[in-house]
Amino acid sequence: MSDDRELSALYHSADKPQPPAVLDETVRSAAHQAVKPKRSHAPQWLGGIAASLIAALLITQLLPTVEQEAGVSPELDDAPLPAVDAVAPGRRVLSEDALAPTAPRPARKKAEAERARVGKQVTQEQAEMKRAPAGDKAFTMDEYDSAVPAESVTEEIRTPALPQAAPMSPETELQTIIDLLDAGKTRAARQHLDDFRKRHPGVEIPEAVTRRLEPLNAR
Amino acid sequence: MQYQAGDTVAFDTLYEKYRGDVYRFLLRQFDTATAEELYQDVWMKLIQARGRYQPTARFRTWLYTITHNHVKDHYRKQRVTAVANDNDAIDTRAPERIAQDQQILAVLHAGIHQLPDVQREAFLLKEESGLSLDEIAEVMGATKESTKSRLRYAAAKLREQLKGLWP
Repeated sequence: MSDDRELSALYHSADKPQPPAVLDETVRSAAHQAVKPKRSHAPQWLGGIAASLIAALLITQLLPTVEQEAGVSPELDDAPLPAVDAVAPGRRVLSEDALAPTAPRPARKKAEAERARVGKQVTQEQAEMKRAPAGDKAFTMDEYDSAVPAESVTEEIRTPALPQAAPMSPETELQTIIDLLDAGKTRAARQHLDDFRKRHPGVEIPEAVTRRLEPLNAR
Repeated sequence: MQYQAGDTVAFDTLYEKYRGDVYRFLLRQFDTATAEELYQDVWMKLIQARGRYQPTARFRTWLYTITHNHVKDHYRKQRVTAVANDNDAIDTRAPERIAQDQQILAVLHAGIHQLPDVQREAFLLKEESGLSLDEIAEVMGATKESTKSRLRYAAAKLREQLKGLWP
């Protein structure tokens, strides 16, 4: 045993080398890192909510723009029923003017301009409707509702229907005939003139035009 | 246990207490580079296994069990034979310049390297790490009797190496 103690003493008399500082640093930092509280999931969770809110905001902001571009005025959906000509107490008549929003958007302006350009016949029909005895021929809201499905009304309001092929005005037709004459297309001009007279028997052809058409009438 | 709960100061205290012993335990068996590599591996394993530490075991025993297993794995994988430590190798070129006590220590360290693995490890666990017979047996997974036998053989071989230099 005494030999063992001496051997042990000899062993411990040697230098005691220590691990290099870089190793110590590596081990300590790894140990600290291992028990470092991990980042809470809250920021990621909040990030998700924030992203959803932004997406919702974008949708609510962009949707009206898209609808507007498509000719849909969101104001129309919420607009109160139009103030219309009174027909009878408590009853209202649908009037086109009442459908116009107070501040027309570009799409509606465009549609209205188009309608005004083409709409002489429409105006006449409206005039006739207004002249009709109240309560008999004019559409009341109730009658209109029962006669026309709500969906079609909405659709009509949303996309103002423009005539597919708008009829030419008499002046335009006469000008077309003159143009054909100028171009030497007399047969076509004659055909157009015949059609014009059929379509517009009551329309008086201006003298200036008549003069231009004299060669044609002479044939 | 405190470190398990995130107390890094507790780890620093333990590390400071055992760093030298573990390092020398490895350094007496391997060259410096291998010893340093194994040293880092051992501590990393301990950090990773911190959740499995049971307070019923002594920390020192647990630490050296991890070290022992890692050394065993290293031998198994590398089939490394213990080589003389670069720092402690005997300078055979100029023995007269080496002081007598330094020469004795160098011979001792060389003798430790030449021991069979289990004897060397048992000897170092006793001398370098200060483990008791029971603890060495536990760490090495051996019986108390075989551990005692390994230690006895190791001491005998080292004395044989030192014959003529050391009484």
